[in-house]
This record gives sequence, structure tokens and C-alpha cells, in this order.
Amino acid sequence: MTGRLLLDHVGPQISLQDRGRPGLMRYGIPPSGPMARICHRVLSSALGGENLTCIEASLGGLTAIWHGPPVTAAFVGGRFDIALGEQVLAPWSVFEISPGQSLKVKAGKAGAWGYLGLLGDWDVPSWQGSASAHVPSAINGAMLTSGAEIRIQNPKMIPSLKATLPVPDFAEAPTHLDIVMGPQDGFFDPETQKTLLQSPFKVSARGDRMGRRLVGERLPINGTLTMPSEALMRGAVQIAGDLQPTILLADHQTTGGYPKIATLSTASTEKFVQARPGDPIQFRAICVEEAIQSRRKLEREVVRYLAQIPTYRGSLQERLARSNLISGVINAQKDPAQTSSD
Amino acid sequence: MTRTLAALTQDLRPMGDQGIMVVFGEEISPECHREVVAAEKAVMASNLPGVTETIPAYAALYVGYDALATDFATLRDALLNLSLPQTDAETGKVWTVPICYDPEFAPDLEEVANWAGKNVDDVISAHLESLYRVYMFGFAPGYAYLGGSLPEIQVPRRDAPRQGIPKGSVMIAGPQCLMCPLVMPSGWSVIGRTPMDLLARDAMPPSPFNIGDEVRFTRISRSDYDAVTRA
Repeated sequence: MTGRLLLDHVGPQISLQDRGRPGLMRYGIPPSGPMARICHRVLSSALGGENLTCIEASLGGLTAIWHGPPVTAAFVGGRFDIALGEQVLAPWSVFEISPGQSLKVKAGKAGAWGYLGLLGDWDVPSWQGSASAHVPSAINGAMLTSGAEIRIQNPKMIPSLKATLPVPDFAEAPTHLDIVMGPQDGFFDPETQKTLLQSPFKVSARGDRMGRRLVGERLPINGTLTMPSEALMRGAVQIAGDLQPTILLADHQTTGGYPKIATLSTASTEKFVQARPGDPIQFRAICVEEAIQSRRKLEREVVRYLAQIPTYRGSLQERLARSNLISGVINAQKDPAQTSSD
Repeated sequence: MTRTLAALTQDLRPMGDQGIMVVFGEEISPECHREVVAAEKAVMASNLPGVTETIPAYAALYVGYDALATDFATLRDALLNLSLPQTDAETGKVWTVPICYDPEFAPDLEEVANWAGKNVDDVISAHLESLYRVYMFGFAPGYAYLGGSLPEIQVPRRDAPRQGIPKGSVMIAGPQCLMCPLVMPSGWSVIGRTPMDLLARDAMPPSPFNIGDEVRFTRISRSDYDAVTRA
């Protein structure tokens, strides 16, 4: 059995993604993968899988029409407006698409990247073990365009997966960004470093999956730039010729010679991707130990969230019935990660 | 004889909560790069807990880590204590890469010759004479930065980048020589083409070259090039 997802309309910057290609940067191969990695992880879990191939939706939105048997699908990320036929869905939900039904995704009130998954085997090309498109190098495909069609083999419907999920704080747009100074903070005088930390910046409209520009006060480089190219990372705050910060993101080049004044904490990077052009940004310097603590806290929160997904499944009535039956157990499990050793 | 990484550098910088940049110097030289390569080999052989990847470049080695498995101070101290082999003993593989200088494949060869005040054959001889070093990858998948061009053919970059430089194109600018693993834009001078496959879709590693290897070009005729690419 095969189904076809017809992309009637797709906005710019929309591509197929899975976990990407981590660990190949020494060969110049960018990691790619989802802009919002945790949202993709939640999507996979919500559909009962791991590292699922999905469509990464941008603020441009999309309209898709499903030609196939009833199928279980999910959308996770941001607070997009989602309409299934005439029915308005919660921004993060697992639902069923009927044959011929349309799904409309619009920017909605917050967030910048969301993930559409459908249960089944996606018939899409793979390169070095990943279905992710790396658009700048044109490896493994390009951005999706209106009229494109995705074939899905063995589409599945699992009614028990249907769920309405809460939007967790760790996936919301940031109120501030935590950075660890360096590795090239030495290229900037103390005054400039103070400017980075004390003056407000705004998310600019200039950006894509490689990186996002911020606008604010100029951050001049001290002396002449004499730096051999070195490795780049997602979350690096790079200052290029325009003296404005660019935050490197999923499709960033693997090496470069512009100084990186600071690097976002992983937790801040995950939030930053959901910021929209015009959003204010305030940087806050933390030490590497604090960043590591925040990374570990984020992981605990994500693991706890994923463990709770089953409690959000089913209709409201089913959920109420279930919580009445097992609420005592939930209260005892303050930290799901610890229960196995109890 | 061995020595620790600390004897070469103490300059280990955090990169957020995800990695450590080990900086060996600020210049592009084979000597400094040998230290980077030796350090990467030592890190790879050490199985230090939490290390996720290594990315060598000209003068710095990035060591990525999983903050759930280790932390900055623990890994920094472990790296500083790593034993490194003598770097002058470090030799990579030496590759012989076929290149065809057919005018169709070398649209900028004449311009390079004019710039250098030489004839085309002298430029070709100069290009064939060097033993190039693979310093790092970057810009595009499988795009290896080779250094070591002779001073007489170190042309500056072209004024404007061009789109659609064919796969396999061999290009020069400054002391560097690069080969296009895929069709790409570039502002460098195209002086020939290699039939060698420079980027594998599925094989691991994806590039024939490793960082620290050396490359010597060998000239092939157009008919040899056509025969190889037809095969």
C-alpha cells in the first residue's frame, strides 16, 4: 500500500529532515538535521518512533493533501495554526488524516520551525545515512516546492497514538540567550564585549538554515583579522565583515575564518531557533560549567516530557478516566528517570 | 619518544557546552598542522569518555563532547595529559591524483599564465611540481583545502565568484589548490579537471583523502580522461 502527500503549496525554506549527519564535519559535511532538534525528537516519540523522516515547516507555511488510506500524523514545534480540513488542531498534536483530506499549516502566533510527520516508510533519497536535504551544497535534494509529492509506503493508522501535547517551555522562543564567551573573544576589546552583553539586539529577517543574522550595535574586531579557518559549530556567534552577530545553525559550513566571539548554550540554541524576525535578543554571559549544567537540566526536562507523552494520548474523557485510575502512581514518579532504580 | 599535549599548547578554549578548541598557533604551516594531526590521532586512539567528534583545521583541533557524559574541566585535563607521538614522524598517505589540463577543463589557465608572465606549459609544470598537503575540509562536503602551490602561480582570487564550476575541477588561489567534489560556486581560477571521485554518497570515509595526507598531481591526456570517465 502506498500513499502520496501532495504539497499543494509550500512556503520558502521548507525541506525534508531527519536527525541529519552528525560526526562527519571533519570531512566538510555539515550536520544538517532539524533546526529545532528537540521538537523533532518529540515528534518521533509522539509517533512511537525514533529519528523519523519529516517535513520541516517554516513561517512560510504549507498546504498538503493526502492521497492514501487513513494515516496517523503529527505536527510538533512552535505555535503554528494547524487546520485539518475544517477542523482546527492544537499546535502540538497527533491526529488522523482521512483520504483526500487537506492539512494547512500557517505561521500562527509564535515559533519559527515545526515538524510534520506521517506514520509509514517515506520513499525519499538518503545520503550518508540521512534523508536530510543540505540545500547549500545540493546534496540529497533541495527545498521542497509547491506541487511536489512525497510517496509514503505502508502508511499506518494507530488510533491510540492520537494526542494533544502541551508546548513545553524548553521549546518556546527565548527571553534571553545564554552564551559562553569565546573561542575568539580575544579579538574584541572589553568595551565591545560589554556592548554584546549590555545592548539590545534584534533578530533580523536575514537568515536561513545556515544561520541567522542579528542587528544591533556594531561589534568591531580589534586589529587585523589574522585567524586561520577552524571548525564551526551550531550556536556559534560569529562576527563577519558587517560587524553584526550571526548565529550559526543546522546547515552551517564546517570551517570558517571569522571570529566567534561567543557560543550559545545548547539550551539557548534550541530556543533561539523559534525566535522570529524582529524579536528582541539580550545576551547573558555564563561560564562553561553553568552551560553544562543547563545542558543536563534540558536533557532531564526533555526525558521527563517524552515519558509523559502517553498521558496526553486519547480523548479528554479517556485521559480523565486514566488519570483518575493512576494519578497516585504519577505523583509518586516525580522524576521518571529515577523510578527504575527505586 | 613521546610528550604530552600540554608541552605543545595550553590554549584550550570552550566552545559553548559542546566542545573544546585546542589552538596550536595562528599561522598556516606544515609544522603547526603536524601538531594538529598528531593531536587528533592521539584523541582518537585514547577513547576518552564523552568525546563525540574531532575536527582538525590549519592550526586548531576541535574536540566535541557530550555534556551528559563529561564536562569541560575533566576533558581539558585529560587532553592536556595525552601522550603525542613525535610530530616529525607524522606522515600521511601520498596520493597521485590524475589531472587533465585540456582547454575545455581549464578556462582560466591562460589568464593565470598571463598573470604569472609565463606560458601555459610553465604554469602546468609549476602546478605538477608541488607536493600538496591536505590541511582541512570545509566550505562544501568533501572540499579539501590543499596547500603548497609554488609562489610563481599564487594568483589572487578572481574578482567575482562564478556559479556552476563543474565537479572534478582543479582550482588555485594564493598558496592553495582545491578540487571540486560537486558542482559549486567559486571565485578561484580553474586550471584543470580530475576524473577522481572526490565524494562518496554512502561509503565511509566519504572522501578519499585524510587530513595530513599529501597529494601530487600527474598529467593525463584528454583521451585518458575520457576513457576513465566512460568506464
